[in-house]
Amino acid sequence: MQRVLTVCPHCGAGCGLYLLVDRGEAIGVMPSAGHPVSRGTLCMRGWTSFQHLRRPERLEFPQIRLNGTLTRVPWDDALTFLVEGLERVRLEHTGGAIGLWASGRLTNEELLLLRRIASEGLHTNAVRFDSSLHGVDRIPAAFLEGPKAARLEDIQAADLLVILGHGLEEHHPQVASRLLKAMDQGTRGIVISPRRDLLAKPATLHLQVAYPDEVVLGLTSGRAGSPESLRRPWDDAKSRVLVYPLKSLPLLRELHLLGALESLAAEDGTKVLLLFPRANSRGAFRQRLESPQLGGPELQALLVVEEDPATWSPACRQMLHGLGFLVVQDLFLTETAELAHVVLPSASFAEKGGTFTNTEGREQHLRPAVLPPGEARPGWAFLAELARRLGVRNVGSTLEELRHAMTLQQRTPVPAARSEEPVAVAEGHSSLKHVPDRLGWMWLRDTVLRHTDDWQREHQDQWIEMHPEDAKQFGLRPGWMVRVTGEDGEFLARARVSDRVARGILVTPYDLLEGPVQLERAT
Amino acid sequence: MDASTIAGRVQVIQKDAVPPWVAAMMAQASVIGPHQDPDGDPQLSSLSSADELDLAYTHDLLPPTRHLLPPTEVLFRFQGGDGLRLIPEYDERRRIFFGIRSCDVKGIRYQEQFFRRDFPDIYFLTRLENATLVSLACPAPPLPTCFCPCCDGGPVLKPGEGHDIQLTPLQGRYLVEVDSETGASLVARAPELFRDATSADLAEREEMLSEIDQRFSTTAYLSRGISKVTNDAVPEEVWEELAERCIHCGGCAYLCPFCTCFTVSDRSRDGQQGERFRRWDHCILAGFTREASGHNPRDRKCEQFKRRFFHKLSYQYMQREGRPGCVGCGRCLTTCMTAVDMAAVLMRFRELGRKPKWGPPWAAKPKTSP
Repeated sequence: MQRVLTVCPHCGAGCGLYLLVDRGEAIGVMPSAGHPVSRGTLCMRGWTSFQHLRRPERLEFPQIRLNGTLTRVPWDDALTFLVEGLERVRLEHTGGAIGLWASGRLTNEELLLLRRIASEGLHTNAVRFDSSLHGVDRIPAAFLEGPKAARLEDIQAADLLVILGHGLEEHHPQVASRLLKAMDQGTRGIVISPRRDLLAKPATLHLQVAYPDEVVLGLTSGRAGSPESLRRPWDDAKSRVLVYPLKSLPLLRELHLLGALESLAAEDGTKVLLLFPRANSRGAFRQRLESPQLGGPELQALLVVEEDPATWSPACRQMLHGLGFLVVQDLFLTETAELAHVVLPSASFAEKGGTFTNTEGREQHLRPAVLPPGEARPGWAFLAELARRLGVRNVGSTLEELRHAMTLQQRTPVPAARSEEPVAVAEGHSSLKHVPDRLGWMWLRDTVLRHTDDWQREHQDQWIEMHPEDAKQFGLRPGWMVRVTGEDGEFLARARVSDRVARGILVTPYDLLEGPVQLERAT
Repeated sequence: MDASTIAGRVQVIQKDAVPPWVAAMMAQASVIGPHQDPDGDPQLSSLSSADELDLAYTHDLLPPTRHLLPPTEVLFRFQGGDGLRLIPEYDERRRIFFGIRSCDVKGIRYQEQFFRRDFPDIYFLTRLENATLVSLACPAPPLPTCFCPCCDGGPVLKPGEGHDIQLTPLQGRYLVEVDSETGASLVARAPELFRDATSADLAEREEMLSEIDQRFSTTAYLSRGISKVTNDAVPEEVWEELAERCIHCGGCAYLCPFCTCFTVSDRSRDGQQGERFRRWDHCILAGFTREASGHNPRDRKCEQFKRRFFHKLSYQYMQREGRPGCVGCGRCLTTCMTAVDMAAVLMRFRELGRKPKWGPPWAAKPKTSP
């Protein structure tokens, strides 16, 4: 049994883990005790991160759609078909007809290749990198680099921890673990969240509100609106760390909160720790191109890499149905891949090299530990070949060459991403404040986790959570299946009834239902 | 000097003679020994050269039992069609575990007892029968998380405790206690490297043993924990309080040298041919006990958490296993994300402030503390 040190492919923390390899197969993982992030620990996602590798439904061969059915073809034929398809769309339509959609699970090298394919090969700006951060057009630079940007070690050193948002133990377990242990040691903590979670108990103060941004905004604007209980510990502390997991709030509120944090962080001794959702969300954000056009009526063709937009929303699914040419590279036949004209098998994190940038900005290397199944190829190898065929020059054919290109690229300024029109944030149900657990939704839809045995066994149901009194008012009992209907669609979930959420708050794992929602028992 | 004259004798080997000894073993078996991963952690895994061996290592987070009960293993392959054919897979590779800690030897022997009982587990036992255990006594705790003296887990093994050879570090040399024929045959591979122990060697060991108590922490309060759990003297609120913190990562079970749980699944592309494999599992997960109907007899987090500690600490299990289910290796202290590891739980029980009361679970229940 050999061990190969690599990086966990799931959240932005970037835990160092060893893949345990026996006779060419990854049979398990273990945390690295010496790694500065994991320090001997892994969450369930990390511990089960090898379980998707040998699933029989892994994609192994390139396929193209012939007479309506996906048919296995050699790589070379698939690439020829793909390039011809894209060229055809490019000739027949104007700019913006071809889009690229990439996940925050791709390595920096793969994202760079996608950028170059977009700008030098396809001449399109209809690109979406890491849809988990969709709509976040600007993150204050001070939170990423410099004295105001907190690192994980700062949690232990701080006098006061201010935690904005709920569910950290589910969505960011490594960070939650450090916050918990710091508070166990006596560090004061203020948790501002809609639900009484793991971190609320050891905290000195838990302000239970539906939307933390409202309290923080009060704290900044002359402090008149902020409660005394919050202000005093804030004033007493010499060093403070504000922790915000991106995607914890509805988008518009999140954008407001980031602005408010900027003025709060201006105070002496205050640092901000932003938690990026996916393994390489931060890398994707640095290189990002995000176009509001993506998904508009002019879109004719789309290249999707390790992302599953079909599960995003009914509208998105509709958009994919209408495309003339859809290409998907992924590990599994996702709902999006089922609609595609070209489906390409990709290598998993354990089967490729490259780098991820973690939530603190730490650049970490993935190491290939096992061979990909069948003819699956690492994303970078496929994208480099595609770039060459689309006429991009000096692509490089090894990871080393790609990395060299990256260091050159860093000197050229990144074009500013264009912001979207703000979407209206409704207050939810007439009597319940609706808190969408957007990160929960992201993990629920995660392609790799959907094919991870133990994770699936433990997360069979979607949940909505409400206070017992509210459940009584709506005539719902614990464990019942509930149909949640909103303007953007509907979904089924089980009712979890607990006093962890305050009265008047409804937590659902659905990202897009921001308007009023109807609840009824599903029979 | 042949194997039959070595068994039971105490020998001495100089530190610099150890690599040649290990090199002689490597000709016949895979030697799993401590070495430093240049990019990462100290670890116990197959040595590619005897020079890599680093007996001054601290600890491997992965217990050596995971070589005998791997995280995932194929049990058999199957082929359908005209008639079902089952092709079992046994791992008969020879392994020499060199320099493992006393606590891990106890873990391996505990698992052996488990896998021999009722239904002998041929997969585990085949690996074990091809394994030789050379343990390394700890004169001082390798890590601050160690608490083996409280759990009868070490730091030194007595004859008959399951090792083939025990090495005890002395000044510039190791005392070599041979405890089995297999162990004797290892010494017989390079007899010129050994000499008989003198009274001076033995006196040095005695002195080391006498100092051990001061060097190791003996405050894990295991016996009090056993008493509390056995007598059902842990109030429900305390279990709730502890269980609430657990985030079900599974690390404590995966890294525990005692834990034996696994789950069995099949893997097949076409339903015609494929393989049946088992993979590590753990009792704190809800899916571990969920029945096919959807009913779960241990549905609540608290019950799942309690289950783990009940198995490790209750007298009911001690009667069957002959010992508590913990060797004090301290791995769960390192890997627990929310500090509800064995030591933390025992400390919490101690705070309940009751005198230890030994006895079987059917004994009169003491009054619950407030």
